[in-house]
Amino acid sequence: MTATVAEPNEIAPPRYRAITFVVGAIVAAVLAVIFLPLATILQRALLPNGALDLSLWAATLSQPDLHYAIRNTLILAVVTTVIAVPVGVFFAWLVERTDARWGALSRLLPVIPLLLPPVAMTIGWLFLADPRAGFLAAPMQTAFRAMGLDIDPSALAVQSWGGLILLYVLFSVPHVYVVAAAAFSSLDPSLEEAARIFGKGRLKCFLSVSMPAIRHAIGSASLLCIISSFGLYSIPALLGTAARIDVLSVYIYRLLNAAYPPKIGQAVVLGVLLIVTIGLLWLAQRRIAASTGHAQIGGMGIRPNRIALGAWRWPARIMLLLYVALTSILPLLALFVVSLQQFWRPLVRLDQLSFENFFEFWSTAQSRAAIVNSSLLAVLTTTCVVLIAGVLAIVGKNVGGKWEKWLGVLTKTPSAIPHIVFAVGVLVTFGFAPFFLNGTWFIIFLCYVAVFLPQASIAAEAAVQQVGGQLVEASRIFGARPGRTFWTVQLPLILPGLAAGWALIFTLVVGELNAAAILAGPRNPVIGYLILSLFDNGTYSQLAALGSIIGVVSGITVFAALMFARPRFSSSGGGGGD
Amino acid sequence: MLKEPTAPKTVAVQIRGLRKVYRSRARSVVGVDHVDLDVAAGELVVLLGPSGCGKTTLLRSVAGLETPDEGEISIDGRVVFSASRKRALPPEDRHLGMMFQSYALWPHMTVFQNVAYPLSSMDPSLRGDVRARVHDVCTRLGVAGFEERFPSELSGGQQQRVALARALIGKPSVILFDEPLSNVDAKVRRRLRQQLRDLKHETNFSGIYVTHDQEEAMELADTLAVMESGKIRQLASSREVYQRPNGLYVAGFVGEVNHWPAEVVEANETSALVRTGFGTFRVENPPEVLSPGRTGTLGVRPERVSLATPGADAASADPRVRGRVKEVVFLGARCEVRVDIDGGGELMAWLFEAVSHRSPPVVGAQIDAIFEATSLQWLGP
Ligand SMILES: Nc1ncnc2c1ncn2[C@@H]1O[C@H](COP(=O)(O)OP(=O)(O)OP(=O)(O)O)[C@@H](O)[C@H]1O
Ligand SMILES: [Mg+2]
Repeated sequence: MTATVAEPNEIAPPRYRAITFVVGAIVAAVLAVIFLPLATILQRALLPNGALDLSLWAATLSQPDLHYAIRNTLILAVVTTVIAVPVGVFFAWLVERTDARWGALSRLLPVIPLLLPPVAMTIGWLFLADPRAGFLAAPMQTAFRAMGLDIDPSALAVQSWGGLILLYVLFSVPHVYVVAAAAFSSLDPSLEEAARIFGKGRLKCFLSVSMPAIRHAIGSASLLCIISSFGLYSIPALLGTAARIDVLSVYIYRLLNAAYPPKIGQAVVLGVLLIVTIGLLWLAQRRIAASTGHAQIGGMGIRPNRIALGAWRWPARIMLLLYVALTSILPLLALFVVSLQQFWRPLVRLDQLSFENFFEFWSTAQSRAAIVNSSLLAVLTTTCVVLIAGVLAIVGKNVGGKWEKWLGVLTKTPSAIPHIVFAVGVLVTFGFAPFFLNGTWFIIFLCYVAVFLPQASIAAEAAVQQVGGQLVEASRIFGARPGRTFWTVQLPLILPGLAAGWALIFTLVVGELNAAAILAGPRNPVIGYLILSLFDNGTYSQLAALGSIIGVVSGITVFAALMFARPRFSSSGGGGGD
Repeated sequence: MLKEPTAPKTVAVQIRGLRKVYRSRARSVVGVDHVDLDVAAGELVVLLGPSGCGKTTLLRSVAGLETPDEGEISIDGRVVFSASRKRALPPEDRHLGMMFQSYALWPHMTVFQNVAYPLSSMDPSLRGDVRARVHDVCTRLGVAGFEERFPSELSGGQQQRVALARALIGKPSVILFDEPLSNVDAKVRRRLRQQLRDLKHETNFSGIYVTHDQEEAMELADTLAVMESGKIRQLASSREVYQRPNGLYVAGFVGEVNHWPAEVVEANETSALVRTGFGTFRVENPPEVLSPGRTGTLGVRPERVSLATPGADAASADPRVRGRVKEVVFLGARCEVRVDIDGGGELMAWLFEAVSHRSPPVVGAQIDAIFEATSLQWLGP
């Protein structure tokens, strides 16, 4: 036979059908879960009776209480940002650019608070700094007295502007840190070296060279900080109420749960306003973040020479440790102690500590149901949302270009919506006719899938990005179809990253309060709902027991997930794509 | 002449009119520009060229990892890509082996699993005894005994060999190599090159090999393709490319070359007389038929220039020029001498005997540079 070119014997069959179908279904479902509630909210707010009607807006916006709540929200957001951003950036600089770090551990220190649900931290602080029964109140008062200051205990209350701001800042710093650390680690070190050579001091170097060099990251982190402050619910709900400092999220909750009949219309109007405000901030943040991203690509593989802090090294380290103590260790300790006491009291007597609270807690059907529901819900939601995010990230990477970009935007959309507003949207969309899901665990599931999708897809995209393109290409070259490539190469390699994301989201779901406040009730109790009702009833020992359980369960889960995820093969770089 | 085909060879890869343009909003970059290339069965074609000339793009197009804009590719007589017929087989249906620059071994699989992977993608009837085949190919490449290790537990050279084992085991129609040796140190690289040549003798695979190292290219190539900005500038055996380059670009890329501006004075079918700033010389067998008045470049490889004291060996008919020694550099196996030519221009000569017995020239001395017969080349404009 001649060896010239011949027709292929068989024409390649269309083999991407099944995958296309599955992905299409996932995208459609995600679109529905995210955008149906949004559409419903908009429609309810703008066209309450089928026609454009602004009387609802007038009624909503004329409430003096609302003005007060808006003012408070703005003050908290701005003050928090002004404090948390410099602190977070400074910590990032210490860990990434100076010799204050020790080992890989110090990289994790500032993000430890991310692993403790904010609600557990808040309850812990309540026990620490309550003016009458807080563990810190009496020692602080004594200390001040020794200095000759006679201070009224209520001035040190955590239920105050000072306390709220402290907790908002403690909550926000790790978020700023993550963004700033990424920017610092890819920053060209010669900038700082040059500044040092020209004789600038360490602090001056930080202020005049390092900070400006990552100004995009700082801008992005500031907006993130404002956005997350707007949406925060657990801290103002547990501490602000007693101090009579209401914020928007709490105000919306009241409209639904403290008024009869619930003022759904007003809640929806406020939701729309918040979405628009935050949406605009979020777009600005993405724009800034995009310009940061470019800087990172160029900076790969830089091994920075760390700035020697000299005598300042240990003070810097102590500051980092103090921060971890304030956000995690002290609140957790307070939780443990109160949970072992019969009643919450500032004096700890060892002979009176017992596990009574836990037994009592477990013997209540409602509490048991809440724990079981929340655990199942957390496992189910987290697994689903991480799998969805993983599939979408892989598909995005494979198709590339415009599609990848739009998938990215789609999965990040919910981060522009405060949980509490989104929960309202889910409630009005799926709660009543025609779905009648109100009072079921499924409605909570739907809400969680949407609100945690952004975090999951950030983790998934990072994981997918790490798998070098050549590893996947090699699999195809050696005869594996896309399906087999996915199961044998892509999935095992991104699993560690997904597991880390899983752990993070699991802790968030377990301690979730906002959506639980709106969507859970006696018929479908979850931990968040239980926390609020224990708090309202003043059963603090039970609350502490619950807080401890959340803390311990989160800790163990995160640890287990990270152990499971730690790849055997990554002892050195070597084999993989870059 | 020498390359007259004696028997009809089967074609492993045939590329016709291949063109690939990378378009982005800002601008478009031509990766590969109307390339034609044939790889016969059992032939290793080496693509040589500077960074960014389109070697990887061409290779990835053959692999199916890149979709060209125009042209046709067939492998083993099967059309795997055709722009006009809108046909593009995915990489997994092209039955290829490939060695990547970064090895691309899967870090979560053991060496055994890595090497066996191409077999397990195959139809079970073609698989044979997987364990035996893996053991066989690992033994041949000197990585037997490492089967249960993970790639990160191997040295760079061992990883390379595992990658080669994986590329060979499925007995693919063609093996593609994208700078597979650029990540290991010079010694290991030389050993692996030797091993690759031995393997080629044993298994007679066909392949396309990308590199920008000219020594590596010459050593491995059955046929060498020198590329420049997306085009193949010359396609011939290593020897031919080195000795009869079709231009200054190719000549300079495969080795050092002395070159001076020149003008054709007189020409016929087989030779030409060209004038330079320091004399007129005859060039035998120019790569194209020249006509008087053409301007271009005259070149000579430094190892084909010898030096003599002025007036010595006057009987020799070889062309010579007079100059003054400017610099003498000792380079171990050879001695590099730079000479300022009387009448303008500079010249470099590599002396191999000067190293051992003869005393090297003295800087500043008058000297005659003698060009070996037929060493002068016309290198085009
Ligand atoms: N994905 C891409 N998008 C845009 N342009 C590209 C892309 N890949 C390659 N190019 C461009 O196409 C040209 C050829 O690139 P190619 O990678 O084939 O070069 P190469 O010869 O393999 O170089 P090297 O020796 O550096 O590997 C270059 O100008 C390159 O910038
Ligand atoms: Mg290349």
